[in-house]
Amino acid sequence: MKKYSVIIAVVLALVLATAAAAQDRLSVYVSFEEPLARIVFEEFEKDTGIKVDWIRLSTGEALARIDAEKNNPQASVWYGGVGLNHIDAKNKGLTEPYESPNAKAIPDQFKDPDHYWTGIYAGALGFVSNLDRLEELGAEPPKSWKDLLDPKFRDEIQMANPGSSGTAYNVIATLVQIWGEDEAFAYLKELDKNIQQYTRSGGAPFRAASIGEITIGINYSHDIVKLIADGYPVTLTFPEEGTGYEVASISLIKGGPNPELARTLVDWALSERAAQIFADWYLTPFVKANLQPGAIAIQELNVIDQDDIWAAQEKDRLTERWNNEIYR
Amino acid sequence: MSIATHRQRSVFSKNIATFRQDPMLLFTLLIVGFLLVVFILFPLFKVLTLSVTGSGTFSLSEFRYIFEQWWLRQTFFNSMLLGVITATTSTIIGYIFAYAFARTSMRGRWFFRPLAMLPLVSPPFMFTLSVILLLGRNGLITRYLLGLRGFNIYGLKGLVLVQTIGMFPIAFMNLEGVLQSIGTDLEEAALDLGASRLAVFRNIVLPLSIPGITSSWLLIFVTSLADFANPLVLGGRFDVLSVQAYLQFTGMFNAPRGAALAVLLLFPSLIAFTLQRYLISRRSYVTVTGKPGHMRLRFVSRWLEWCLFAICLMVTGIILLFYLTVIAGAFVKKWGIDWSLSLEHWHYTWDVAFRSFAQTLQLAGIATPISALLGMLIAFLLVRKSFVGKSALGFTSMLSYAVPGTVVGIGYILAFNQPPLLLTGTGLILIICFVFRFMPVSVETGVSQLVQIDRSIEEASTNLGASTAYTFRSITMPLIKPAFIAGLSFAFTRCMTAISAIIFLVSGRWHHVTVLILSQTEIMNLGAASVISLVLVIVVLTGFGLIRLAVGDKNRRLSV
Repeated sequence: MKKYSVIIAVVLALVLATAAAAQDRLSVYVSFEEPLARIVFEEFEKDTGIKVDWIRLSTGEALARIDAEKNNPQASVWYGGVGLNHIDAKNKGLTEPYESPNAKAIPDQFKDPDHYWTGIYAGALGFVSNLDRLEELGAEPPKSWKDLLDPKFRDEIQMANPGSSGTAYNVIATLVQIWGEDEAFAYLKELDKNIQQYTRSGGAPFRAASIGEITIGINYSHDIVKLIADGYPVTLTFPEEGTGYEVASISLIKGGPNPELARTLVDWALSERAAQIFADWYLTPFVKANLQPGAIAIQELNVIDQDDIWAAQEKDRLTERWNNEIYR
Repeated sequence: MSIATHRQRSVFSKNIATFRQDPMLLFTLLIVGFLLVVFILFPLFKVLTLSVTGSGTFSLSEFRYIFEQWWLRQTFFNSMLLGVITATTSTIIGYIFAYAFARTSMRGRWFFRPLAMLPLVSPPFMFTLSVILLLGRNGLITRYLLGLRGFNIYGLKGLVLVQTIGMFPIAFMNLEGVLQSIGTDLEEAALDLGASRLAVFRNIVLPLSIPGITSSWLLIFVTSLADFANPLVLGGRFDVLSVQAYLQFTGMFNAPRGAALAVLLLFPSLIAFTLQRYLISRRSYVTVTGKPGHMRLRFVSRWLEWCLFAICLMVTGIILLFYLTVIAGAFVKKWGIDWSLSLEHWHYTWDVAFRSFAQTLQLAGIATPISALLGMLIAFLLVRKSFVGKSALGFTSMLSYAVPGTVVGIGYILAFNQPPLLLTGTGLILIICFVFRFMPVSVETGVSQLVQIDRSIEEASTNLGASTAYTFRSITMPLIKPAFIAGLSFAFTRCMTAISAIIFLVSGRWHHVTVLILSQTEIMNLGAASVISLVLVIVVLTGFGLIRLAVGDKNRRLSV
């Protein structure tokens, strides 16, 4: 029987280790890229000594999870992710206000007047095209939304599924703001013919384009600039009709554990030190930092006069309409 | 008073008597029953109720909506179509393997068997990974060897390919057992009497193996329906229920619709599984009368044997190719762009996946023994004890085998994210999910082993005054050790490679390594996904070895 006792003892020890999994850790949902998240939290731990448990969830997934857990919040901070979903979270009562002293440096249009969410960096929507694939198709990189309808690109374009991805909903909201709802949906219906797959994560299309699985991905430009810098045969273009952008934000989750640590993370995320880490990843933070060559600040682009508060309110309805009319 | 109630009462009082003699039994039954109700039935109940009460009151509007919308309706038919095709192709290939192993003197078994079994211990979408690397639009074969442009493996054909390769071993194992249990005497007699080989096959072997074929088919149908990771990555525009239920539930947080889609996934699985159980229960075992493995006559012509050999070679060749591809993918710098070798993905994986691996092992390490022990305990109760509600206990303990992981995941979120059982986000919820999902195999092997062991030894122990607990611990457990090992191995493999339920339950604190592979595959970080998959296979195989070491595989006490 001794052997069984040993096994039981080992199991019990593992159970205790599980139950005691350190209480002084901060739990975070991250919606920017996983490799970047790793660097960010390593640096954060170095600066503050706070250990972070994090999981990368697409914007939609993060929101759904925070909603599902509202009776028993598991995470304290939602870090990154398309801003209008942070607005959605505020409207649904899932987050709580916090005015970080570091938020003063951020322009008013990129933070919530009630301090529920604060912008970290901006990124404009753009097209990533694989140069080798373009050459094979005998096509030019798309210069406008309408260029994407070219029959040459049949099954060659990816965008994410607005059901799970904030990036994809940003695309839809942008088109509706450019053309009005019905024309935008007529366009999306045409575009659908050229879409190879609607991915779960907004980060998938540019990856697929980078290795040539597809020709064109609709993505945030900073993701693409990073790819070009990494030596992938891709190019970045912007639509001449105007493009939308995200205000990647940070929010405190209402009732999350360890609120003190959570505030420390928000302060840190808005510091110049954190901004530089993001800038090194080809992002364009709102806090002053040295941008990487090629990184494009949204002020330099033809961006639409975007109304995220409207977009957040219309999200459920437009996504449902997209599901029923386009996705089918 | 009617006879029925009288009989009921007497059964009841007999039970009371048993329990009084053996209070430990009552206690155990109450605890086991309670656990099964809370962790298997209650989550299912939550899914069912939410699917019909999403709008507040009882209505079937969610189901009506799903069948009114073409795109949602299509997910249902796609799932069924994929299930039927995969089940058919897998069963055919599985039967060919089983027949070649059980009825011919085919060469190369030492090569074919381990390769054919390898898919059973692989992460669920390892083959999807290989298919993208080989047959994707930028695949080694399609693009660089054949020069195809825009070849599209995504969708039904790709899914049938990866599912068939991944699932035919289930049919192979199952059918080989069936064919071995059919004595060869009858066939030899028929051949002696001048029947042609084809006639022998058609009139004897095939009819006798029909129940086994049907049961394998149904089992694979259920497995295919439940598959989540392959369709998510390789589905393209081919949408299936498990993926759409996940997207609706966690992407849109349209919980009622997610639940309704889960219910649509649940019922075909339950029906297929119940049918399969029924078939197994009434299968007539033809006893082995000849000396197995020692065939006097050839059942297939030399020519046909070569054909079988060629098919086995082709299928195992594909498996080998898929594995080699993943190994290559782990070392190639940028697949399709920069073919130079590097350890870059290994460094990256070390950083990214170490914690996930450690946690996955920790969770699996806790869940595996509990799952197998609970399974043995239930098997013991089912075979050796009589009590009210025995068939209900048997059915419930097997139920989670039939319930797709997506349904379990949704059920667990719904059932355990509010008091009194606040478990979401904890490691405990993952452990509990593992324990109850992967227990059925322990129960099943435990039952089949116990049935074969004469109960007189245990009776002797009880007669000499030992309690049920003591008898179970000192007599039964050592006797059913092989079943225990099988249960442990199965539970461990599945704990390490599960994804469909787990993806709902992982949290910042508790990662699972398969979810990590999925996210790396999704963002086309195929190198890292390859590395993690490979390491996972090695860990699972090492785990098998450790289980045998820890529990002891000497069988020395099993001289019954």
